[in-house]
Amino acid sequence: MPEQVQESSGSARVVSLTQSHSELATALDQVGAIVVGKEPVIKLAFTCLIANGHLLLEDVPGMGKTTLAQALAVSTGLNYQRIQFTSDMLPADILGITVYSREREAFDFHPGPIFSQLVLADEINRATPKTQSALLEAMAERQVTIEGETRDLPAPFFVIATQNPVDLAGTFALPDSQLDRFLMRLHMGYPAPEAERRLLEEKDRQLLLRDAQVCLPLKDLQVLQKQAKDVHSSPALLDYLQALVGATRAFPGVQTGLSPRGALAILACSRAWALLEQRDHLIPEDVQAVFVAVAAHRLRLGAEASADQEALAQQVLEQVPIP
Amino acid sequence: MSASFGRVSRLRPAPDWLTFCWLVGSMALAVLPHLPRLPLWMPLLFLLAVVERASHFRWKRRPLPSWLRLILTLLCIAGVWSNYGTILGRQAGVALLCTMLALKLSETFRRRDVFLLISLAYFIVITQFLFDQSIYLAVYLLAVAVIITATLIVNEAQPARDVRTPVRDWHGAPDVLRRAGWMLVQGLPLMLALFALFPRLGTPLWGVPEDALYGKTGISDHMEPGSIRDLFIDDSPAFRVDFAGDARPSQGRLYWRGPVLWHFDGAAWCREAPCIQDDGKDPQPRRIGKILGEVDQPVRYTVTLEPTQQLWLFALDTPVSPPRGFMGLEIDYTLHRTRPVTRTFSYEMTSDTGYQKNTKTDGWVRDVGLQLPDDRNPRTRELATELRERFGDDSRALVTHVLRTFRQENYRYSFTPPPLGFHTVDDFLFETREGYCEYYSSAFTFLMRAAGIPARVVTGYQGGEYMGEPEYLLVRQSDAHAWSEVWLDGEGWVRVDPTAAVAPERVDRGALAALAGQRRGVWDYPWVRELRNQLDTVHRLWTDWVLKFDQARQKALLQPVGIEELSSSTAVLLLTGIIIVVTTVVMWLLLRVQWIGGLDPASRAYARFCRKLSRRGVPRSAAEGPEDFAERAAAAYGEVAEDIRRITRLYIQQRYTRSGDDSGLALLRRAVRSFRVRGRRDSSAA
Repeated sequence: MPEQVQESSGSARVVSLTQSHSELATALDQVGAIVVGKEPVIKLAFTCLIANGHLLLEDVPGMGKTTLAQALAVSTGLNYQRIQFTSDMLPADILGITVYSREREAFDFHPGPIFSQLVLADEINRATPKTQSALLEAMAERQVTIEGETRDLPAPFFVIATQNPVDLAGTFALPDSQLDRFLMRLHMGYPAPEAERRLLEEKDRQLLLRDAQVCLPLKDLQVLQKQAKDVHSSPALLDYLQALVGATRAFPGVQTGLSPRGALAILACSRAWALLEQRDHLIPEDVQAVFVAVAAHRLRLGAEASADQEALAQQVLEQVPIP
Repeated sequence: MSASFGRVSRLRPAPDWLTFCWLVGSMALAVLPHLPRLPLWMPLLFLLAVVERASHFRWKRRPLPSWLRLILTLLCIAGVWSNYGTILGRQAGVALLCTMLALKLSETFRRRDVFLLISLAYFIVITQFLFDQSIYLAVYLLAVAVIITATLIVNEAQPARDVRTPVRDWHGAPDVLRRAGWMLVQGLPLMLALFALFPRLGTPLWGVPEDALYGKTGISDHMEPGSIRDLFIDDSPAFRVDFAGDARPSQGRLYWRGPVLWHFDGAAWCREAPCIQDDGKDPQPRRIGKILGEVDQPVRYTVTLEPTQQLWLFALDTPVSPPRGFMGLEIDYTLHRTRPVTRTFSYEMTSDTGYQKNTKTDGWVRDVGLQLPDDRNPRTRELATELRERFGDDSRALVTHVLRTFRQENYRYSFTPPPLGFHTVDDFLFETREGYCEYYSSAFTFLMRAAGIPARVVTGYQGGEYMGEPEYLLVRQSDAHAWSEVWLDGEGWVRVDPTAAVAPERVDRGALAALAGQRRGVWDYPWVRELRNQLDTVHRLWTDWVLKFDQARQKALLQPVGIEELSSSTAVLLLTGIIIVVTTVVMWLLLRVQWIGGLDPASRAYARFCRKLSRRGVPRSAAEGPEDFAERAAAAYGEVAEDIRRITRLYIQQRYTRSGDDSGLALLRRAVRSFRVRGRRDSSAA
């Protein structure tokens, strides 16, 4: 039947299912077993990873932010450093320091924790702006300049930062320009009761992490990153994306809408998401899936805003028709 | 001033260049037909206002200070006053309105001002109908209304345009005009409803323009060489006639009687012979009201006369009963009105085409009918004496002889006769022998009077053209004619048409045929005449159904629907109902267009698919992606889940992947067409 032939050739759900995809699925399962009941957040976190962007996790302490970051690091086999930000921290504490070595009679550079493939920046808003900007500059440039010498950071280079949005005493809120460096901002949220019960019943998370395997090695991650760039975006879909971005600029309660960089970020994340969904083309659902995570922290609200950023982004999604 | 200007422009954006151009264009078009009626300084004022306002745009000039604008306004009011002696009334009112339009133009600082100007332009469009109600003007003004509406759209769309880039983009114009036209089309049902139901006065809505003394005059109450020839060139309608029943008088009987001319001063004939008043022996009432007599062949008909600015009305020779209303029939069968005909005017008449007139007549009438200037035309007088001697008292034989002479002795019917000298009748009868109806009737009447037979000149129209369906008779200005009447003992006033003796085809087939080969104007071609006839049919429909739509016609229209008396409360009720229905229908159409129209074919097919599901209780919200919707719909209607997924897959393939093509589109369309929602809805899922 010619009809059948045509259909199957046309709308094959995917790209050829490569080894990378099965590894990705395993990785998703493994992280899902460690951070229980948080599949959407985990999927978005992987999306962020594939879209080659930095991730900001925002929630009160004890929600599993660090566990998620660690699980991601372990599953991808990236080398991993954690920096606990404090208010007395200096840029050198992150970037590294040059020390005179008496034995060698020369200055030695001692690289800071930033020189790793995955950096977990805990409570980033506790640091002074000076220290924050040192990190954020590194995130943008993917290189650091110390004492006049420019040093490349390892590739890939991911930053997963966390911050506590509630206890704001003695913190320095990240300015908009620096929030923009994060591709996504995710909220963990409380786990569902069943998930929480599993958490209580099962072994300690740290033990699980220790037992975890590298499921998605770096080279496969890079294959996925490359494939994501090839996901097809049709004119109709770009129309929709533009309609969404345009809507944020004229939305009641929003003072400043999404920038073109924000639009590009949504497109990149949508592509990664489509890849996770094993598709070689974008559909509106892909954009909708990543929109809130990518757009919310980029909206600057006006004084009259009736809801928080996430709620407003959700409203935009609900109100913009798909052309 | 500049400070407040700056503040205003920040709060409410000033109209941009594109809006301004549209505005100036639509205003110019709206005012244009008024131009001949306006004072000469008005176009200048407009031009200055446009240039002044444009200079804000082009050279960033500051606007005129408000005190200067106030002075200008007062000056303009004074100007209108000096032109018309008043600022009220039709002419002056419109002039004032136009001045205000021009002045407001130089004051368009915000988009709100643009709205005001647009409303004013709409109003000016309406005022045009106070002066002229022709269908051509109506069509023109409809087009202007589209352009004004387009200006409204352009103004409305301004916030969406980028103000920083200078707009020279006219490519959007056809689109804007199309939208404006579509908006007017949407208003059409409402317009018709308002037209039919709006409470009407006893007289047509477009009332009498009291001070409108311009336009065509047609036949007047005096005749001199050339006065009728001017009418020959004029193919515009004089009046139209609807005959009652099957009566269709033949061409030879279609003598439309106008003013009867009694007095001749040697050069011109005129109606009011001074001797009638001076005579002192005028015992008879001038008007005879109703003429009683035996009517052989009564013809009933309705005449619809174009405005003439004259008192005279026209009736088929011979009118036997005067029409109703403000009209009188004089003793010489001249029909007139008490007020000039300033707009299309209809009256019913009865005539008898075979009727003989006043077999008895009084001495004074005979005296007037024999009046002649003493110092003119000696040769004609000589001829008359000679004829009188030859025929004695047999006046009829004399008349017949003269007519035969005209026919036999090389007299020609011509549209371009040579000029005549002081003795007009002598020159014509003995020298040039060339002329048209006016020459013949004038000469003939003179000759008869000189021979002692009372005679008079009758002016009017002869002939006409049957046209249209239902058939009506169109009489044009070019059908103007003049003939004579002589008084014969025992027979009374008898019609004698000397022109018919010279050129019988003038009477049988009309002036055009008689002047065959002689073109009367640059545009005198058969196809032009044909086109003009077609237009006249349209024009008649317009007059019948629009201009003459009064209370009586409204009643006739509403009676079949069961509305006997249209009180204002019924009208309001009906109108409200119609407005609601029309708005609902238009809204439904619009929403449909929004859903279906303007989409690519795949989306149209998909919209149909969504509608099918929507009707069965699973509507797709506008922001819902196709796969999400498919899952929801499949959960609700498990039985057709596979179809739903397949259509969704085909749609996504068509719209979002690289591999969409025509065959895939056909597949999608076929799938949607054959898709039926079956099975029970699983309400827990949906």
